[in-house]
Amino acid sequence: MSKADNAKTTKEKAAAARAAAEAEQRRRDNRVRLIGGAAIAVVVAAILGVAIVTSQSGGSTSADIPTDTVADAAVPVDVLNTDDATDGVQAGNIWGFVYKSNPGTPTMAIWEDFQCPACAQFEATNGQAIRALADAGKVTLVYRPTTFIEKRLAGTNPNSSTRATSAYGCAIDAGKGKDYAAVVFANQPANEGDGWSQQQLVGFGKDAGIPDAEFPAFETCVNDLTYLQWATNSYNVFLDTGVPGTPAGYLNGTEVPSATLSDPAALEQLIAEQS
Amino acid sequence: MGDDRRVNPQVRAWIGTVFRLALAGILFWSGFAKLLDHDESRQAIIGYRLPGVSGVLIDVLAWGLPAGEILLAILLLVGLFTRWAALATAVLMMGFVIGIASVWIRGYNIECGCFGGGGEALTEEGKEWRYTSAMLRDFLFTGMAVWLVAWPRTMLSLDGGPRTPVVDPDDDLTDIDIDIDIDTDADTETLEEPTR
Repeated sequence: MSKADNAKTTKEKAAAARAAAEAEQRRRDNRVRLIGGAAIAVVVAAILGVAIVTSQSGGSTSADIPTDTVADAAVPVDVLNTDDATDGVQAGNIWGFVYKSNPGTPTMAIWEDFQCPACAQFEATNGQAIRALADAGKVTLVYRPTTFIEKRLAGTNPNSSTRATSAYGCAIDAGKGKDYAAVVFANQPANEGDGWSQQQLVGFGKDAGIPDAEFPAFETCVNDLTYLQWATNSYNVFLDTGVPGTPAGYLNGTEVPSATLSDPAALEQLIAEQS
Repeated sequence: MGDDRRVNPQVRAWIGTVFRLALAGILFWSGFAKLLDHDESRQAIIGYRLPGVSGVLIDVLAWGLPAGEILLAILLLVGLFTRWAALATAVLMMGFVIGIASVWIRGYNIECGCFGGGGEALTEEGKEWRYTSAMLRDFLFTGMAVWLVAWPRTMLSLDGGPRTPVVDPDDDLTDIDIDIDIDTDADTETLEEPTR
């Protein structure tokens, strides 16, 4: 063997050894990837599974609040319990409270949760103006209650959104629906989620101007939680239709941007364009 | 990558390690918060008003998004499939940026002001600051992820650090380091020599 040959084989052998080492390294890398990847996939699947199971078994919904929709539930007067797609007011607005129906005008639907601070703020800035438009015959106005905040924020008075909505139904029956809603919004607790006691919800009826003659019936209606099922039905529509939050306004079924909703002049113009 | 060798690969690998672990922490926190607060995150997804996302798709996203974030977080934490995980992270972050921008342009609120927080997003000024800061934050995270897509080999990772100080990890078939190899293999070579 010449010196050159020797050098060459050494070089070749070195290359072969290196290739073998690299192959070994690759095998090891692949093993790490396979085992590691599988282990991580299992861990993530386990975390997800636990989270899904916990969310379904847990939840802050208490036993006395219905969760499923009942189609023939008792509803207050002026509350839609059918969904006739050919009817301008009813279309898509089932379980909504028709504040004012003005045939031939666009329909404005407003979603609110009594415990939502942004709704109280919205009512303060634009609530009156929107109702004035409806009173003037320019728009058909439907209020749609939802109760999603209590599912998350269980304060000192559980299920306050649902109970307040039920009491609101009683006030609607007494002809003081929107007055009652205004009182509830004005009396939101400082701490979101603390809600109201039944006693408070009864007392709000006085502030809303329910006449003495009708008050005993109202009080019984509130304390019997007469319209809990209505509140649940409406909340389920809120969930199923993917309403992004509250307050939310829909004009003829199309969501109104929040900047427009909270601006009386812009909203009036939008309604005029739709008329 | 022409300018690769100007940066010390070791330093680069350590910078990558910092980015990798930072992104892992961010993704894990973000994914875990979404799992713990499922109702809120579901509502937040609806808030983006993505065209065509309704019904079951919302629930798929509301569970899938945090699961994906946690998956990416663990991959980045241990440094496995770093390049792919970083690529997915960059796409995710850009998705958030596009989502926020589109909601902003369309004049909606992402935050519903529902659950305690988020009330400040309801004023126009608060909204501007909130959306801008969220987008800047996501751009920063995207930058970190892109770095890892470019240089996925980092220290303290299962993928392994840079293989040699001088050779680019992706062309380790070149023979630049042949002299070094012969030196280190010298012992084995001489042992085998007599059998020839």
